[in-house]
Amino acid sequence: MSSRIYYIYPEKCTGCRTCELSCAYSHTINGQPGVPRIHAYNTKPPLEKGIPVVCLQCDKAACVEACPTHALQRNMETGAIEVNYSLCINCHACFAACPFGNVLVEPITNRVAKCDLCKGSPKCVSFCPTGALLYK
Amino acid sequence: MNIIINGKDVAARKGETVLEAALREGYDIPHLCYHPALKPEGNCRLCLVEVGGKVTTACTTTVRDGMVIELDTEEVNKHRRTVLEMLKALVPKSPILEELSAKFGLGKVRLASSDEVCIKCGLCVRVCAELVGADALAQEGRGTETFFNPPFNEPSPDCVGCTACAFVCPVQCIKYEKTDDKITIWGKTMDRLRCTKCGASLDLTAEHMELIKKRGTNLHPENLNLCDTCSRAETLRTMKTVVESQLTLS
Repeated sequence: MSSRIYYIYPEKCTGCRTCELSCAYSHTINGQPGVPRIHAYNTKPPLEKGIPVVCLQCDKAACVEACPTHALQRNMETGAIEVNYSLCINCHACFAACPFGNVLVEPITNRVAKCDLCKGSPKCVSFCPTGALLYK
Repeated sequence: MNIIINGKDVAARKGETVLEAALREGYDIPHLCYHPALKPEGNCRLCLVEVGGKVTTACTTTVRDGMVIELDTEEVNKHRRTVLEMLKALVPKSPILEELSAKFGLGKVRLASSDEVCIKCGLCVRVCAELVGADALAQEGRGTETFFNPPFNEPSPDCVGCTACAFVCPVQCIKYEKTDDKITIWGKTMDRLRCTKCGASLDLTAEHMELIKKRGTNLHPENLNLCDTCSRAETLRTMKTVVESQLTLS
């Protein structure tokens, strides 16, 4: 198991959605912003605040179980489950399987996309102004 | 284990093929019917290399210690051009074949071009049977009379409409039609599932979902028929209750 863990502190999130922007612009496709792998939602009253929803890199991940080609594998250095696109046959089984809705489909290419922790330096963490996201 | 590619020492793993070793080390070998998730079959004949002076397909040759491999000799390129010429006669307007012909200097195709669009590599059949697990496609006939179809060229009851065959086809010859609620492939029309909450169209058919459910024990059946937005809304609700309880505690 990876020694580094991605932490979410929802109590610190203000719902500014800077993480979504930083994610979309660090996963660009031919210069166009990609689909954000993280979503910061603003909840309605009585509790008005932001809550980030992002891939939890589950230990027993449903996306990994559903994949017929073993294209989804954990990167032991970063702890992220990554898509190996040379093995992927684009069947979208992982997209259906994720119970948290964190496997997405890139609208431009119709390929699946999920959080890969930016290969060890997550941009959402560096851009989060309140420290609601942490990777250490 | 070490092999020698173009005069350079390259580390190789026991049991892997020449193509796998070369691709991993960043060498470019043209290939069409090879897929890393499947066993190689050597059907397209494009990944030719010279091993110890003999021309052979890289995808079906297992590495041996000290193997001498040449990728770009005149002999290899000559054979490659011939193979390419025959493939191009089968599928005249394929972008990938055009690209490879320009790269290896293939001029005019001397063979009569066919009106078919398939290079007979069989990748669609292998992906459907071995990876997707639907086993809806089959090979029909032999030699130049080979076709890849659902059995008897009838809409197959096993086809789940996942479109993986169309995705892996190297010359993109498998056509399908997707509308908001239907998908038509290999003459079979299937309904696409709808999110049980918001009604948005999911990119999957009910038949495909049944196959996915069989793959794992950790899949959550109550969440499988939700779209990604509704699944995230569920996640958000759970997170919210956690945050609320934390805020009241402190």
